[in-house]
Amino acid sequence: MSGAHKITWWGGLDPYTFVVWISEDKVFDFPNPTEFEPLFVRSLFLPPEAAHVDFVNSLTDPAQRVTALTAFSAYAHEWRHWYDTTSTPWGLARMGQLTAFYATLVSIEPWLDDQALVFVPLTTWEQAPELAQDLVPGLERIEPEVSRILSNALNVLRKSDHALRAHATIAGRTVSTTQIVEGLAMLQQELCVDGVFGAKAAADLRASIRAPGGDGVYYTAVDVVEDRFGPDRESLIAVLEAALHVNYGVYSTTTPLTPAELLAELVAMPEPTDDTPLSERIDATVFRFQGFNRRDAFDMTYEVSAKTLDQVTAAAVQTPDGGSAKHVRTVLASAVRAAFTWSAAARHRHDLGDDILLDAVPQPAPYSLPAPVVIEGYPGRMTLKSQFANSHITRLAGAEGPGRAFLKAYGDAVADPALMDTDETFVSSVLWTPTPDTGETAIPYLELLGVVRELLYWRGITFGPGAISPITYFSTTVAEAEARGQQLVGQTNGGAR
Amino acid sequence: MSFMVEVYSSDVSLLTDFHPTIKPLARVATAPAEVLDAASLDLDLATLVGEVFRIAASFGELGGAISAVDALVGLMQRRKKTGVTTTAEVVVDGTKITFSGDLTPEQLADRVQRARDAFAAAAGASPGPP
Repeated sequence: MSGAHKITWWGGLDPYTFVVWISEDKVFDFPNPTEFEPLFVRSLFLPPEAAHVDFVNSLTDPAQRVTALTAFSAYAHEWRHWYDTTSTPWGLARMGQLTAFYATLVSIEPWLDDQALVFVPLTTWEQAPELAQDLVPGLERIEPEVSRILSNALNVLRKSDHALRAHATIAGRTVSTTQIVEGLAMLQQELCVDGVFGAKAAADLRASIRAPGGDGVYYTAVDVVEDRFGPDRESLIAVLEAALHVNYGVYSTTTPLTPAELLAELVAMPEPTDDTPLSERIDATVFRFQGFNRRDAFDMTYEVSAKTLDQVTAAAVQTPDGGSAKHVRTVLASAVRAAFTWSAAARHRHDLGDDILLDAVPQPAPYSLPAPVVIEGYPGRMTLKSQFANSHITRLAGAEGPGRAFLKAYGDAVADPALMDTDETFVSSVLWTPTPDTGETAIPYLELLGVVRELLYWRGITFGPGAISPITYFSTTVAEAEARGQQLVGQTNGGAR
Repeated sequence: MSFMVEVYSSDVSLLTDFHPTIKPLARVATAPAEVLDAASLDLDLATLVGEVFRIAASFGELGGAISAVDALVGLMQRRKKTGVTTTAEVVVDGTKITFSGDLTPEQLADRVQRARDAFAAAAGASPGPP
């Protein structure tokens, strides 16, 4: 086996598909995956429970224990990313612009439909046509109008990435927005572990991340805040999430007032001279930084982002029926809007008026406000077709979790000899995911799952397979291109075909 | 037979030094340029560094690509001797191989071999229509 299929992460919020991706791959590195895997999968949809505690307690190897703790809390980590990107000003601005990026990009669909050969990535075809033509003799250049649309879309994307990649020096350490977001996710993960497995387990989780060879940078922002405000987890979360309250309703997304700069201001806030609560001191600091407190920053950014989504809705209405462009615009505009509404209601539930039925408002917690989740794993490390009838996936199919059900259909993939040591047909887990089609319990933003495949097509042809796992690229981008009668050339991914 | 190789690094000076080497080995090689689209990146890089730069090159034969990687490794090792440890990712047809000045000789040999295997696979799979 080439090992090329192996991936080393448990999950991630992919903002470019608007959903949380969970990988089952690492489960199979565990000595006892058959017992571990069902518990892991269950933790993605229902809170860890006594069976998880029993499993962890049965492990004598400390490394295995912390691996299990990490796995069982992975969803909580990724959920936090979903929550922050759908209910903070930074997140609203970013998600709104990402929607605008796709809404613009799909404008090239009429031209694309006429292309029998599509050079991947489109960005290279557009920016280095001589390279593309050297690789594919006879390939035409991209038309100027298409080039203009691509440039416009990429400009929007760059704006949305600006704040994410911004960084500042705080107390001698470089802290980026990404690290703020990762810090919040680690604290959420600790909260989950603490609540189910105890404080010692949460400390073990943190120690494992900070250990040499671990992902210590995930704690950089936490460390900076902890040095200033102490170890209280609630305070750490309050300060870090306050940093995501730059007012993008007033300032542009490329403003130098970035989350990292706001965090620097928060860390530098004066010591209290009285018993003013931390929340008020945070708001005063946020106001000093930008002239708006957190609530105003949220409200104004929400309005601007909602207008962007309204524009996408209007564009969708004008888009001819039948193509991906209409579907992408329609679904993103409504589902992202719904995500904002649900997450914001959860975050601000205590500020909602009396006319709101609070029981109907989700708690700001992983299993009450479920993130859209896609689960992937590589064929070969997943379930052989011949064993499908006995797999846990079969047992889960049709099972209902809170507000969701498991998709009942799966796709097949034939293993590539370069990846696998057998050519048997495998079940591709990429195609199993919770579905929003659950009747009364449907949550409107889970409609995002219905457009993931198309988003991966657009993303895959635009940027290439680099950021997508081979099997996902194969079963989304390549499969969609084939359905359109297109032959992908250039970086077509030899990893899975 | 032609295939594309991309080299990513947050160290633009590494790619600037590498460009004159890769240019005569490749059929076409782009100048180092910042990758402005995080969507094209593996999150390992995109989440942890502010800037990432890229060179893309087309090769008509295996030997040129292998020589290019050898040259890249040589550059990184020379930098390590001066106390500068850099990381670069070589991407060919969806396969990513990470090189770092921190690698042990065994790790380095393994990565170089993986790169050669990936080049061979890419060279065998034509990027264009037959």
